[in-house]
Formats: sequence, C-alpha cells, structure tokens
Amino acid sequence: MRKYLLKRLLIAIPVLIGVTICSFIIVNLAPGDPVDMYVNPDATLDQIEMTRAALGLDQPMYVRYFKWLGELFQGNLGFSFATREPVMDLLADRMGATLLLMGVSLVVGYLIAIPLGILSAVKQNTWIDYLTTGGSFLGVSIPSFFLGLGLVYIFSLQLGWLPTGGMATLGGDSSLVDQIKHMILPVIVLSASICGNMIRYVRSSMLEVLKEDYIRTAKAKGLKSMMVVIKHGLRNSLIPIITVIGMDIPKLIGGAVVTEQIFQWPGLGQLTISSISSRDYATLMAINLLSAIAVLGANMLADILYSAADSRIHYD
Amino acid sequence: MENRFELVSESRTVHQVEKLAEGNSHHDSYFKMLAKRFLKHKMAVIGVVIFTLLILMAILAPVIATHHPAEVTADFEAPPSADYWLGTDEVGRDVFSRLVYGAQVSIIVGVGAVLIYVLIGTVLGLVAGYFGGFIDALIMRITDIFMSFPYFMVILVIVSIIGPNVGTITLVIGFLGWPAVCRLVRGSVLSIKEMDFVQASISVGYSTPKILFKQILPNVMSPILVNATFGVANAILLEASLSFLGMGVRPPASSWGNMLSQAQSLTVLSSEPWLWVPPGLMILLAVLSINFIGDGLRDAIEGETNN
Amino acid sequence: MKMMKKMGIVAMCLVLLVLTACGGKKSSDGGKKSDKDHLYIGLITSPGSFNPLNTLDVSGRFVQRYMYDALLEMPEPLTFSPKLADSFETEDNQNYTIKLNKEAKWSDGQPITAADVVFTYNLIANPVVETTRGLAVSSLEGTQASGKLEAGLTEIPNLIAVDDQTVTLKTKVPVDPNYLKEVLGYGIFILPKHVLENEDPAKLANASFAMKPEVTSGPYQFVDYKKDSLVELKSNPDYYLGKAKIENVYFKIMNSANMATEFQSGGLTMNASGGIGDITFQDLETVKKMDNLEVTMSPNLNAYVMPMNIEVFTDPNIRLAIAHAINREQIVEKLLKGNGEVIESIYTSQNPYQNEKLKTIEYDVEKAKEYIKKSDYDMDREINLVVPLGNKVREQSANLIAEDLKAAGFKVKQTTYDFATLMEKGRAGDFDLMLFGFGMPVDPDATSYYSIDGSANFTKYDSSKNEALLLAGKEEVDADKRKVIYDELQELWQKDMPVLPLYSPKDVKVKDKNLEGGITEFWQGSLENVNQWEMK
Repeated sequence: MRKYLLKRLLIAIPVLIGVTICSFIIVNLAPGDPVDMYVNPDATLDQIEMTRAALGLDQPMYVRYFKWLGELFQGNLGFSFATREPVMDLLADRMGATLLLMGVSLVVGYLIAIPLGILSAVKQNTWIDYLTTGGSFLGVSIPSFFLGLGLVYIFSLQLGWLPTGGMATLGGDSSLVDQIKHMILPVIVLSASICGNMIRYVRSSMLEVLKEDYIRTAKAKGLKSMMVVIKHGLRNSLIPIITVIGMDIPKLIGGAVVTEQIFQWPGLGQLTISSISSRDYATLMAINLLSAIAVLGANMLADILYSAADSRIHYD
Repeated sequence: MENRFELVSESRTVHQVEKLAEGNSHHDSYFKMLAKRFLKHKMAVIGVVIFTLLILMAILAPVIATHHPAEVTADFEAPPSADYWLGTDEVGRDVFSRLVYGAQVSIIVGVGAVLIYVLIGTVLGLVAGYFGGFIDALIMRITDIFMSFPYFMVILVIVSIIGPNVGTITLVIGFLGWPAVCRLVRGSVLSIKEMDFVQASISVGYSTPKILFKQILPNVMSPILVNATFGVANAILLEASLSFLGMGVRPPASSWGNMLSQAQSLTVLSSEPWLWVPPGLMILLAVLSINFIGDGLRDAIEGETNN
Repeated sequence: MKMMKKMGIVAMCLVLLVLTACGGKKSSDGGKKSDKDHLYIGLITSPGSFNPLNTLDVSGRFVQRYMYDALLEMPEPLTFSPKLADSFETEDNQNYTIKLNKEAKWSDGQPITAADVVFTYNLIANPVVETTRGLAVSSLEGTQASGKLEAGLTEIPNLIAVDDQTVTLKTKVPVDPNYLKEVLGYGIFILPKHVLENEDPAKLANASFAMKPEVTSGPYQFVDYKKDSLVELKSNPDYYLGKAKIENVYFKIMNSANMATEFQSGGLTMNASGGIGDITFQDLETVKKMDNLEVTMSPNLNAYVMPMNIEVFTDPNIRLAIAHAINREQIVEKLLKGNGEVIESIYTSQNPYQNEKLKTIEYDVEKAKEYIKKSDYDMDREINLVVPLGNKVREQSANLIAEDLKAAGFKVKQTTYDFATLMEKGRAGDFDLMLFGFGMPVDPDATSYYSIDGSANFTKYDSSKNEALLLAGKEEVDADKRKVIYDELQELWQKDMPVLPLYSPKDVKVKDKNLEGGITEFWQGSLENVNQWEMK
C-alpha cells in the first residue's frame, strides 16, 4: 500500500509539471498585452517598458517559466499583477469562500442523495422511485444559472426571504444565521446537480447489490428488509459512490464558477474570471496549479478509499 | 459544467464487454434486442421525440423563424404579441426567432464537440490499451494532464486566439473532453485483448489496425455510445454556461446561454419573463431529453430495463 | 485494512469539522450599529490598488479620495477649492506658491508639511518609481515628457519646501494655472514622507501601503479590501476638517445588473456612478418607482466613439457615409432610454470646451448612399466591427450600428473581444471599425486620441493641420484662446471624420433619500465634502 502510494506520488510530479508547462504556454499565448491593463492609455514608451519590467514580462517565456518554477519550489507563488499583493494571500481568502460553499453543497447533496437513492432502489418501480429518479434527472439537467435566477426571482424578489447575493450582510452582526441565509440559495443550486448525479449512482449500484444471492438469503432469513439493505447493501455499493465522490472533490476548487457569478460569492470562480480579463498571469497560474492538485489528489484519495471500502482490492 | 454523468464504473464495463464479446457473431439480433429494450423505456422514447423535434427546429430555423435573428425591429423590449410571439429583447430583436436559431448553436456544439472527443478518445484509448508499456504510460499521463486542466481558462484563451464563435467553442470542448473516453476505451481494450478471439487473430497474423478497428472497436462501441450521449448533454450545458458568462457564443449570434445572460437584471427578472424563461426552458428540455436517451441506452445495453 | 478504514472515517470527520468551523467563522467584527453609521456604495469595477502613485483605474482613484486628500478639490469644472492647500497661486503662470493648511495632519498624528508635498512630487519624477501619474509633473522644470527626471538630476529643481507650510515650484514654460491646478493640485494625493522614505522606491508598487494603506490624510481610513467583493473604511477620528459624520463606508463591488436588486433589498445607500458604479438604464424605471430612493441624472465627460481605420477607409467620403448611416439617436432613445446625448465631438455638453456651433451629423441613409457613390470604396468588402466587452450599452449598440450599416448597403461582421485583446488589435490596426470609450478629463488635450503619435490613436489619422492645432492647444495658456483652437479642431475632426462621436450617457445617481450628500452634478467633484455627508 505504502509502496503504491509512493509510486502514485512520484507519477503525480511529472503530471503536475506538465500541467504547469501547458498552462504557462496557454496563459502567455492569450492575446492582449497584460501591460496594457496596468498603464494609462496615454502612457509613454518608457512607462510601458518600466511596468513590463516590474511585472517581469521583459524576459523570454521560458526564462519566466523557470523563474516561476524556482519560486514555486520555495513556496512562493509570486505577486498578483492586478493588486500587487502576494498571490498566496489572495488565494487563501478566496479558497476559504469556495471551500465553504462547495463543501456544504457536497455534504448537503450527499445527505439527501444517499438515503433517497437507497429508498428508490428498495422501492423500485413505485411512485417514490419514479419521483426520485425524475427529480435526479431534473437536477442534473437544469442549467445552474437558470435555476439560480429562478430561485432569486422567487425567494429574494417575490418573497423577500433571502438575500440575492454576497457572503454576509456588510456591517451587519455577521451572525451564523446571517451567513446561512446567504448560503441557502447557492447551496441549493450546487447541490441540485451533485445530488441528482449521486442518486443515480446509489440507486443503480443498490439495485445491483440487491440482486446478489447473499442479500436474498438474508431476506429469506426474515431479516427486516431495510436493515438488510443498510447493513449489506450500502457497504457493497460503496465503491461506485466513492468514485463519484472522487470526481466531485475537484469541484471544491473549481466547481462553482457560474454559481459564484450569479450570487456574487467572492470565491475562486470569480477570481478566475477577473484574472482572465485582467491578464493576471501569476494568479491564473496559481489557480491552475491548485485545481490540478485537487484533481490528482482526489484521484488518489478515491483509490485509498476503494481499498478501505473493499478488502478485495489490493495495490502492490 | 457542474453537472456530469460520468462513466459507469470500470468493473461493470468489463463485465459488459464480456457479454458483448459472446454476442459478437450475432450482431443483428443483438441490436434488435437493444432496440426492443430501448423502446420499453418510455422516457427515453419521449427523449428521442423531443430531441428529434429540436434537430428539426435547428435545421428548419430559417423557415420557422418569423424574423431574421439579428434584425432590429421597431419595438424594444415588447411583450409577446401576434407579431412577436415571445416578445422582443433589449436591442429590438425577435425573441422567438433567436430561440429557434439558438437550437442550431446548441446542437452543433453538443453533437460536434462530442464527435471530436469521442474520436480522439477512442483512438488514443485503443492505442494505449492495445500496445501497453511506454506508449500506454505516456498517453495516460497526457490524459491526467488534460483532466487536471481548468476548463474555463483554456477555453477563454483558445477562443480569443481563434476568434469567438460556434466553431471555436465546439473545437475547444472537443479537444478538452476526450480523457474520459480514452480511459473508458483503454479499460475495455485491456480486458478484451486477452480474450480468445483477439489472441487468435494475433496469432493468425492480422494487421494491428485490423485487429484494433475490426475486432476490438465494435466491442467497446456500446459504452462509448452511452458516454457520448451523456456527453452531448454536458456539452450543451457547458456551451450555455460559457455563453451565459459572456465567454462563449457572443451576440449577434444567438445562443440560449447568451440570451439568458441578460436576465441578470432586476427589471428583466421581475417584469420581462419572456426574455429569460423560454431560453432557460429550452436548455432544460434539450439536456433532459438527451439524458433520458442516454439512460435508456444504458439500460438497454446493460439489460436492466424496468422489468 | 481495518486501519485504513479507520483512517477513512477520521478523514471524513476532519473534513466535516473544518467545514463546520468555516461555517461558524465570523467575517468581520460584530457589534450592532445603527444605519446612520453605515454608507453602502455600489461599485462595479474592483479597485486595482490603493497606491496613489500607480493607480489608473477610476474606481481605485475614487476609493482613494476617501482616504487621501489632494492639495485642492475641484467641485465644478476648473473651479478649485482648498483642501490640504489653503492657496495655490502664481503671478506669471510659471512660478507657483502653495500654502498648506496648518491644521492638516496624518492619521498617525504627524503634521502634513511642505516636505511631504516635495517628497511626493519627487517620487513621481524618480525614474525607478512605477507610476501612472507622470504626466502631472511633466510640466515642471527638469522633467521629461513622461514626467521622469532628466538624466543627471536626483530631484526636481526649483521644487522647494520654503517652510513647513510653503512650497514653491517652477514650470518649464508658462502654463494655464487651471491645468496645473487640475493635474497637480487636484490629481495628486500627497503621501506621508515619514512612512515611505525608508522604502525602496523601486519596490514601492509592491509595498504594503499599496494594498493596506496605514497612514493617510483623508476623512476615512482603510479597514479591509476583498477584491471583487468589498472595500471597508472607517472614519478618521482626527480629520483636520472635522471627523466624518458617517462612521463606516462600504464599497460593495457587484455586477451592474445586480445593483437595482441591491437597492431594492436595502443593501445599498448610493451608487458610485461615474462609469464605475452605474445602474443599468434598463433598471432605471424600476428603481425610480422605489419610494425610499432619489434618482438624479446629469451629463458627464465620457464620450463613446467609433474610431475608423483610416488605412481601410482612406477616402473621407466613405467615413462620412458611415457617419450618416448610423442612427445615433436610436441608441440614445432605445438603449439609454433617453438618458444621454448624441455627441458631435469628444467633448460632451458638460465640457466647457465643447464647440456648440458644431453641426449635427444627421442620420440620413440617402445622404450616406450619396457619399458612398462619391467614394471608390469596395462595398463587397466585409467590415469588421470590433466591440470590447464590459459595457452593456456599448455591446448592444454594436448590434444597432451593424444593422444600420447593413441597411445602407455595407457588409458587416461583429467581433467581440475583451479589453486587453481589443487594445492589442487596436494598436496593430487589426480592425475596421471599433467601439471605444474616451474617458476625458476637463482639460481638452486630446493628443493621445488624435495625434499620429498618440498611444490611443488607433485610426492612424495623420493630418498636419490637426497636429499643429493639437500642439497649439496644449501650449496655449489663455483659456479663451484655447477654446478658439479646440473649436477649430472639432470642426476639422468633423470634416475628416477619423472618429465618429456616438453618444454620452448621463450619470445616473441613485441614493437613499435619507442621505444628505452624495454624488453631485460634476462627478469628479463629488467628494469635496464627504466628511459632511450624513444619514438623517
């Protein structure tokens, strides 16, 4: 196991470096000179060159890449072109906001999806099943921005119950209640798709398990059907569920661009968009790196959980 | 982009493939059986009907639309009327006509992008799975890199290099979407490769391309098909989201996503519903119908229809 | 294997724990305060930084004006009132004397002296300091056109702190005192010498004062900034002109589309307007219906224009044809909902330099077709209309313009780019028509937009008469004589038509009826008495 993990980690390093090279090239290929964003339109040539040098853009691309990489190994992500503050500070702030939103959405989504998925499988072909399945299809098919706007229309504009956006009431008492109020709508939007997706997996893997002989045996022994399901079924349908969780984890970082935009949630998604339009290379590189780490980390975590969930799987 | 039906778990795919390999010699009857099972899935059939209607709408857009989608009429932000069935937008264009033309964008991007990435993913997956070793490792690392990319930035940059239009969005989603297919195909190939009929072909001395495309490919078609169907739905959603954010299809071209982007206004949201509800419903309808089709296909292939 | 299982459970618990901990985190210090202590200002563009030396974005400057004082205020165009300086005078238009307010002090209690003024101007002229304000000092002796010191000098000559409250300075040649008062007096925020003199000037742009200013001179002090989200300020208790009546100021950064919604829910006291905090015209009627709000409108200095690529449209006739083909009135009526003006030059009705006798380029398709006949332009060629993202009305106007041009027989293709890309395309001449906004100061100098050497002249307009007049206008000291020069220039531009002036939207100012104060008719002068603003 340890050997396997070590191997995975070793493989992850070249992949990460590959990602940084590709992103660096792509970011730098973007049309538009970043310097244009940071000097007056009537700036003289001297001023333009000075800003270029200050942003470190006066050197060829490969030199800048290696410099960036060197800084990275010292734990330094450079400074943001836009605000001139260390990218690390900028990211830390935004990551907290996104993690909070996505984390709660994932948990809420799973807490609804797993029991519903099981129920839907146990009660296969009843109205509960149809309703759940239908709902899950709706959840994955509805565009987040359409759902978001609809919710804002109903709950904020018509009923006036919930705020339209932001993370907290400014200058308010910043209580937990206030924060929860701000989170309800974006969490509904995000968990709709997470939940819809998960229900489908739980239901189909449960159905498969329910057909297995040992469950039939247990049922025949007269154990209460719900107990059987939960005791044996759930454990054996863990693998596909872990797979989905593994795929969902990277969303913690980059999954909420549209939702953050609609609800003005000051997270990484908004930062990405504003950094793109201001050609903030340093910030973009850091976001890329972060999301790449999230994907690789999630894959690895999923593998570890597989083996924890199913003793039949061994890694050598 | 936040919604994704991902692949069926790998173990099931393998199981699936074995089933297929057995039925390899009876293709006709196998497909008949699939069709029969598929038709039993009511929602999938409804999905096919709706999606067919959408395709017709896209093809016949010039006939159906009452106005040219970019034409500026005399009325701005007019409510629905006999002249303008779904009213007009802020620039005085007929919303119904833009909605009809928007179907073209969704379908071209949805189907086009998936065709591209299925092609790339299948070829790379076949190669990686069949040859193994260094080639396999290399392709899988590239797959990892692609999977780790943040979609939005790559799309924005490429779009601004080539120019923002439907073709660009299609290409970009296509070039970024292949890793999942590649993994799926590779996984299937790995198990099929060891089967007798393939081993036999190798020993007889069939050429590699022939084995890859004539013997292995037909056996991985079904999971690819299921994946591709869900992929179309995801690509449509992705395009709509990008256009909504102003990074995808841009006016004057009409896309359901960019039509909705103007709904981020108090006035439109609360008193001009004709500007944002119809495009939202169209996206929902298109994506929902395709997801139903995908579900029907999967059930048919896996023999899990509601019986 | 059991251990792995346990680890998994522990990991899950940890994740949950972190999440709940985050959920309970308070975003700012608590304590209930009444509404009278809060001012919520709606802003669309996030400030770049709070470094007064190196900010070019209007919203950054706007927020800085709450924290830093300049020597002078400009409540009306070219009318100045004292701020840090009691007086700013000259007798010969070349030697100036500035007297500072004795009471003025920094937020850390240190007095603001002549040494700070001299230090600030010298920083701007220092060749190693990154700054966007070079132009402001470029008329002082010893500086180059960029505002940087000439080789061999270490500081600006004849810029002298005579005593603690007196500064004298000398310009290269006599200049219009109003010009110097605007760029130097109103345009430059004075920086604290005692805080910054130990910083490395070359690294000043990345220093902490740029993002978290600690020692400032204005009515408010910095508290917190979250990019794209909010800026929080609190009043400066020892402000020399009297402590601000409203304790806390929050700039809420949002999408313009969300502004009306925020007003409805009571999340905003006022909008910043002025192009950095505008409510959409579409939402205007909705907002006007809200009882607690007061809506006022006034013209501003910003001009939305359409530069034409002269290398493509070589013949003035075809440029005039394009000008006549476009229904600018429709843009104002339909997109601005009547809240704006069609402009005939880049000087709007608020600019004292507008030539009122300029004739109107009327919308007349027939006339356009006549001009087309007169020119040798190939009508089969597809015109590439390049549109920048970021301003909704401008994006929408592109559709109307394209349709108008089609109606006159042109072939048109619209291409939308984000700003950075647009600048690159503009510089490279890679466009036919372009939509652009000129953010004009009161001073009429338009060299950068119209001169062949101008950095924002994408049209490649090159006319010797134009160059001569631009130069004359820049160098003329007398305001009346300048007006004559710019009147002539505007007529020339209308004849040559390198840039079609389109429209200027009005500033829409929305505020809570209980707010006494707020944005005034002349936007740039709105913050003159921000410390007096009050919530009733």
